[in-house]
Amino acid sequence: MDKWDTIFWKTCGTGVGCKYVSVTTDSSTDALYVTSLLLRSLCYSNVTSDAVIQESPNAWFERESVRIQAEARERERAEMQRQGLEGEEWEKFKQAAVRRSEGLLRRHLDFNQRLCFDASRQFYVPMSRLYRIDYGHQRNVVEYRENLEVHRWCLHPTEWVPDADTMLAQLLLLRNDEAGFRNRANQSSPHVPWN
Amino acid sequence: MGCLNVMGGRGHVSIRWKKAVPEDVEQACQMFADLVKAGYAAFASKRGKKDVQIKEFDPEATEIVMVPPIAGG
Repeated sequence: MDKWDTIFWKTCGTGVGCKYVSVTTDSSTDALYVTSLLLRSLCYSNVTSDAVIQESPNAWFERESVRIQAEARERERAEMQRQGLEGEEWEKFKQAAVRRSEGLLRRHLDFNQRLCFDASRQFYVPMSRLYRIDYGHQRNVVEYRENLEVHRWCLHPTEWVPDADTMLAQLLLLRNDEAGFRNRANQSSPHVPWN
Repeated sequence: MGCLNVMGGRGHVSIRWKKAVPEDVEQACQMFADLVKAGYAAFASKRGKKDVQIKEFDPEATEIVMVPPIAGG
């Protein structure tokens, strides 16, 4: 992300008047994540807060969702051009690629992961932390701590590949170099619902 | 028989080699080297061992998966 983002919000009812807090990070995902953590901490300390976010979360989710979908479409369009296909031909081609990639992914899953993938198109990877890899391309690696989703991680091939190939790449990277995966991936809150 | 699976827009492309056929091994080895130079990561499976990251071609591997360059999204 190349955009610096700032979120201001105001808390009322603390007995000392209004407070303004500014959160500045190098990505809007992180800004919202920090904001959600701060809001949560306000709730935990029993401060009644009346949050006013300059850009409403819904508008932000919608904007981010549109941006991510546009990026995915752009990658797919580049691949279509590279393959010289369009329309129905491309759809057929893509479906064949998806079937092949799912076969390859299944071969690399253990018995429990395969059962889970067949049932729900996701599987768990127990490393030093527990991860769940969902069917998808972006923000589809969920980290758990004590049965709670704590982060979503985003790391994927730069060129278009079927989603199951992305999942396999994420699995292989996690199994072999969990720390490297965490260093290279973007982290965001699990509570941003655009998947 | 070994198999080199290269991820890409076609799902993946498979190149197979027989250990007993030097031309097969050489072709797979050359492709492996080219892909690693292009930034691909390689993960090899052998009997009893699963998906270990490798830097050099291993003709003993039963399957090698080549993952294109990756980035945080």
